Amino acid sequence: MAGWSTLQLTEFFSAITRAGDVTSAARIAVQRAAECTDAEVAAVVRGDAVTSSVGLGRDPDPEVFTGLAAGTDAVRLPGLGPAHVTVHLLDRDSDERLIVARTDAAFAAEERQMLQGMARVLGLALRGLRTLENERHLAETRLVLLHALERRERLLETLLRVQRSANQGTPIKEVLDSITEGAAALLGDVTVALVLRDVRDPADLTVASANRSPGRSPETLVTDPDLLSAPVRIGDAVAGALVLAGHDGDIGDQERRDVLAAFAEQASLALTGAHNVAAVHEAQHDPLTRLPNRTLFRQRLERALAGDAPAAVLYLDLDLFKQVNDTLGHAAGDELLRAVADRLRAAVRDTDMAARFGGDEFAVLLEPLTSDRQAHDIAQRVIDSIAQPVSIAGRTVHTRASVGIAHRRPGRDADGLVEDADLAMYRAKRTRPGTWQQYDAPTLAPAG
Amino acid sequence: MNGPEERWFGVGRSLLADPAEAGAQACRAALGGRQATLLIVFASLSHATPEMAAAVHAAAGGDVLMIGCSTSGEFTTDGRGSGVVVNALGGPGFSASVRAVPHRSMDLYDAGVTAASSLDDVDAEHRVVLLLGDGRSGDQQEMVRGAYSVAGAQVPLVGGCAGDDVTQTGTWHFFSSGRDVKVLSNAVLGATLGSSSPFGIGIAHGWHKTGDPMVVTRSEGGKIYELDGEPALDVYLRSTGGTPELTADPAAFLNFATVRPLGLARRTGEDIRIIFAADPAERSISGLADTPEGAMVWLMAADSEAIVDAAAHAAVAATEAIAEVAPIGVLVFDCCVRPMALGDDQTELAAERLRDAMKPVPYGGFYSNGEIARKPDAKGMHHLTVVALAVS
Repeated sequence: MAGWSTLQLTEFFSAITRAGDVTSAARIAVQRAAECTDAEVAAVVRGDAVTSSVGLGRDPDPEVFTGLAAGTDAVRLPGLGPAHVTVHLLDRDSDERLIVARTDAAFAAEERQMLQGMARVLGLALRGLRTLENERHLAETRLVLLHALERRERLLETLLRVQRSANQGTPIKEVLDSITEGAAALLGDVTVALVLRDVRDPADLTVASANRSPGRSPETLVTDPDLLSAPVRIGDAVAGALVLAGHDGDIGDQERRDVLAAFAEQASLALTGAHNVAAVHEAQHDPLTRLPNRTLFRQRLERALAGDAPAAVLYLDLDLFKQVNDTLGHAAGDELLRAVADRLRAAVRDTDMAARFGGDEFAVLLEPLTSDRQAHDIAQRVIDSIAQPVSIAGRTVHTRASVGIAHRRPGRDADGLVEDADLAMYRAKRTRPGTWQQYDAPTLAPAG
Repeated sequence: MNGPEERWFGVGRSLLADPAEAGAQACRAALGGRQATLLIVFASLSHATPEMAAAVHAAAGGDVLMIGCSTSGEFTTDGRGSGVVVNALGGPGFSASVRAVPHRSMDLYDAGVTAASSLDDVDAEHRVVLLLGDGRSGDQQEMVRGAYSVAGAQVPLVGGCAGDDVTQTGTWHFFSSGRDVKVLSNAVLGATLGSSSPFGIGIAHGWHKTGDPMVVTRSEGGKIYELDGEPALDVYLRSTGGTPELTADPAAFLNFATVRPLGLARRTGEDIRIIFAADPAERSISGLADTPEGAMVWLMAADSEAIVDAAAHAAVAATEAIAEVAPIGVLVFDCCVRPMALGDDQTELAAERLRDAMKPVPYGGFYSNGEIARKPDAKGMHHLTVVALAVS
């Protein structure tokens, strides 16, 4: 699900940055990576040594892990049998890697991407901690070291900030801008740009975001001899690259590449998340009116019926829609439907859900309700607001809605309740169009 | 019937007012004259005394492994109550080893490592680590992590956190690795149980998410300041239908909020966070465990049928997890907030459903302050949940 993996990454960042040494950083990494993917086993491996592992007891045979290279997707684990595995390099210049394995299901693209993000962050954290551990005694390197460490700390903080803004539903453009700005701020006087393939024409590249760098336009980047790039993906497919041009003398090439790669992972995650959210939204909404469709309405109604609170369904049908379509054309009909949707949205409460079922049929879930009367009031408000004339293509168009109301009752499921409301609407339309009718459950005669 | 040559599981309960007499009576009933491999003792706060622990231990012969803890009430086939429940098991094929970590002698991760190192002493075809923690002392998930680092994926972890009759005054653990009996405050206990026959674990809670997801835009530890950029308390009251007056009365808010928890997004399902306090001045709400900034949360809801059935569902799932072997007994760890959510009649109904579902298998359980189950599809610490361990 969208948002799930970014949350896990946020937690991971916070936990890793609290670690004081290599052992505890690696330990935290394997625990969190395993927990957030419901995996049984995880390990950090460097050369032939296992830095930390979880899931196979205190002293597992290192060979279980050391033989697993990037790209491996299946493994047989002692005592657990066949498992799905995913292997992620901590940085591109060493073979140090994060390995995660579970028995129940293969790792989805989103999970692998999240784990890759975790691996990058862990790689940066471990390198910083190792430098500190190895060279603590060298007084002459102290200052350089301190700068490097400060930068690393700032890097983790920046990543964390980007991650949070991605979680908080910030528009994707702003998230991408915070990524290019964040990377550039860490790397000094440079230009960082996110270049993406055009969806319709993959040969066509566009600059989706670039930091505000004085005097350089992203388009001139390609002439830079020091150009670095890191791939950006949406799901499994390469969608473009994060590109770095320019150089700050203080910062080594390795670090530039690391920072770029870490931010490229962020961009991949943000774009994949946005892609998923857009896809989910698309599948659940009516493209014309942007209202929820029948599928989403049904899900929400089922959830409401799973609780105990009073709820009701309104079913609406426009009485004069066909005439508008026939006399003014389909474009006018579409415009009328959009106008009706806007009024419907405005007439119901924030907690209600208005949906379009197709054609000129709409439904509203009313929840919560304090009384039957409240449902009647809202139905009347909907009718009054839709009855106001609409101006379409320079003409004033009148329409009106007939509404059926069905309150929840024991034993009636979501589909049943919609049927009841539909039936009540039909009665209203037949007897007094432009009014509401409430569905009355048939009472059974006592058995003789 | 279980003869001397068979594995057995016995449960005894006593509601006698004197803790020591109750302990001895419950223990005798559980043993029925048999020699136990391990005693697991649950005692209400009123009965959680050194005299009780010593009496239970003595009634079992004075040289037996024992773990146990204080509760917010216990239950067995005989019903619910506040007294002493002794679970005992023994017979061929069973083996056990125990560890105790006193309060604050090490960090919780290391406490988990120590508790699970009881595995080192037990060599058996099937093993499980029982953990009795203390929900009041910090992040028990760390304790479970430590235990998992030792146990690994092959040995399940199961248990609960000690209760204190929901008084928030402190908990007790009862322990013996042989002859000496210790009563410890705010401790972590571990027992490895080995058997030639399998164990089964079941988990159930009956809650589901409702409404639209909200993003935690500002939080610190367990305290949530903002949801979707608005003061968290305002959003919480609006989405739960709570009145502002509630926040003036901490007890009323506690009663209201504990049954309206938040759920944190996970790959499969949600992590439940119980909300227990509100600060009307800062318009914040407080949860029992960390709710990180950026987290996506839902309001969780439940219809009472689903909560009522959770105990029976967990216990049945535990027995069904043992393929083809008949269970001989079940331990149940049932969240102490559930009775508050259900009210007395429904709690009684839940107990009846559990009894009907288990008949004739004996079981002993208590109302706990956090439930533990670590297996592939369960992260470790749970809340508002029922965890059951079936023994065969």
